[in-house]
Amino acid sequence: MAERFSHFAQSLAEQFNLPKDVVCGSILISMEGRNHVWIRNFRSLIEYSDCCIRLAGKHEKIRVSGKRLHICTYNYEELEIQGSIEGVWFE
Amino acid sequence: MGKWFQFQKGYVVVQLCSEAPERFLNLCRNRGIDLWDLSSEDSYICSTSIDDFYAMKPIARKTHIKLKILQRRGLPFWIHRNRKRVPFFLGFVCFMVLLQLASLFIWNISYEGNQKYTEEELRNFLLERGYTAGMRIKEAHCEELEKEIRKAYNDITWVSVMIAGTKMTVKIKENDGYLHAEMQDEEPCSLYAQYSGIIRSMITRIGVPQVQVGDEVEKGQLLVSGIVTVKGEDESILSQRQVHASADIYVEQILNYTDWIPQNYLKKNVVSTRNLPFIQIGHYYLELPNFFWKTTENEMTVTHMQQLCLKESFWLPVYYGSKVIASCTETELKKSEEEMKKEAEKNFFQYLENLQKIGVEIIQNNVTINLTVGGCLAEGTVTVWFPAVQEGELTQ
Repeated sequence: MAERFSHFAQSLAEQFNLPKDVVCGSILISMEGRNHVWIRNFRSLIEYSDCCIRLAGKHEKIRVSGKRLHICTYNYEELEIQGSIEGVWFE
Repeated sequence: MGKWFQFQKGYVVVQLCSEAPERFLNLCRNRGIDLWDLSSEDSYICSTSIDDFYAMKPIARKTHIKLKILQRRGLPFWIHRNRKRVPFFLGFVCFMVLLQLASLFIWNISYEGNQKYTEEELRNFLLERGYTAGMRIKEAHCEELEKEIRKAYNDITWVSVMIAGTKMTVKIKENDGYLHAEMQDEEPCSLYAQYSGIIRSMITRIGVPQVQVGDEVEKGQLLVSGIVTVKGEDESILSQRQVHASADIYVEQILNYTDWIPQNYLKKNVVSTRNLPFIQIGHYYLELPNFFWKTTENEMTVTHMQQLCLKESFWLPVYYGSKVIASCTETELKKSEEEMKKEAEKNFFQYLENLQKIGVEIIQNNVTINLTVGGCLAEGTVTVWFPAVQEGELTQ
């Protein structure tokens, strides 16, 4: 059911040229090199340690792993992570 | 949030005493609490504003997390810590008041675009009208000053006076491409001799000549009359007409020229230099006392001075710089014959050039340069023709 709704929302966004992150609730990730990452449109923080940060989105979960991970900004809008990032995975 | 904004509002660095503070962080986020600099190396530490810290307390109770303030940072805490330092705050207030007072006056006047007119000349002009460093901004009327400059200097085609902060800028544009319009002064006048001498050349355009080539004239003598008389056959005066007399008349003069170039001269050699820093506030001058150096007789002083400005347009009546004092020794040197002759020639040509600049025609040059005991003597006479015309009142 959820998957069907997701497909419907995606086709609706494509049809009417609407931003997908608003309609589908997708997570937005921006990266600057391998030391900075900005994550928006996430639901909650699942796990936080200096080598792994896990976040829950509307439909998926993501994991940012690396070394000396440090959250520069944490507010309702966005999460800014700084550190030596090894990868961003969807779970 | 900008760093300055955080500092201004004040913030605290908090330690979250818990093994897993994720729930606490999520609740904080949902309630709109901003957190920054969140690290988890040894323990969970984050920074938050003062208001958010108080908003965080119920969440901490709910999630069984103990909050420990590690540091209090920012302006409100800094003021609280230094609340007993009254003289410091008084000094700060005095400084701000002085700064505010200083901003009511003009402390720097700069000139731009002047080539023919020197800064000193323009400064004197402004000074005569009361425009000087230290005057109140309120009393400065830029438009009036612009008009006065345009009125006083005909060849200044454009003037702009503007005040920005405590600086007055006078921008001028000089007329560098002249169109020599013949200004006909139609006022009737006669021409008189400006110098004494023998008339060597005379071209009369308008008027009745009273002298002729070869005549010796005295200074102030009438040369061309501006009254033109029409006579009848019986020499009776039929009519008289007043005209603006015009003529080119040159009188011959013999000028004596003497120039002495001594062979010996003193040359100054700099032995040592020292810097003395100084500061000047208004008229009060403070210099580093000269304890360690002995003053010698032969000294040259060069002063480097700069005015203090906080911004490009905010100048203050504070000057600083250094005095460079150079101790010198004098050595007596001798010029060679060639050098002396060259110097004498150079001086003489400069003299002739100056004469030509004022419209004098050089006819004959009898100056000789001779080497004598102890120097070089340039001596002789120069025969010149001076333009000797001077306008004056009409006389019968």
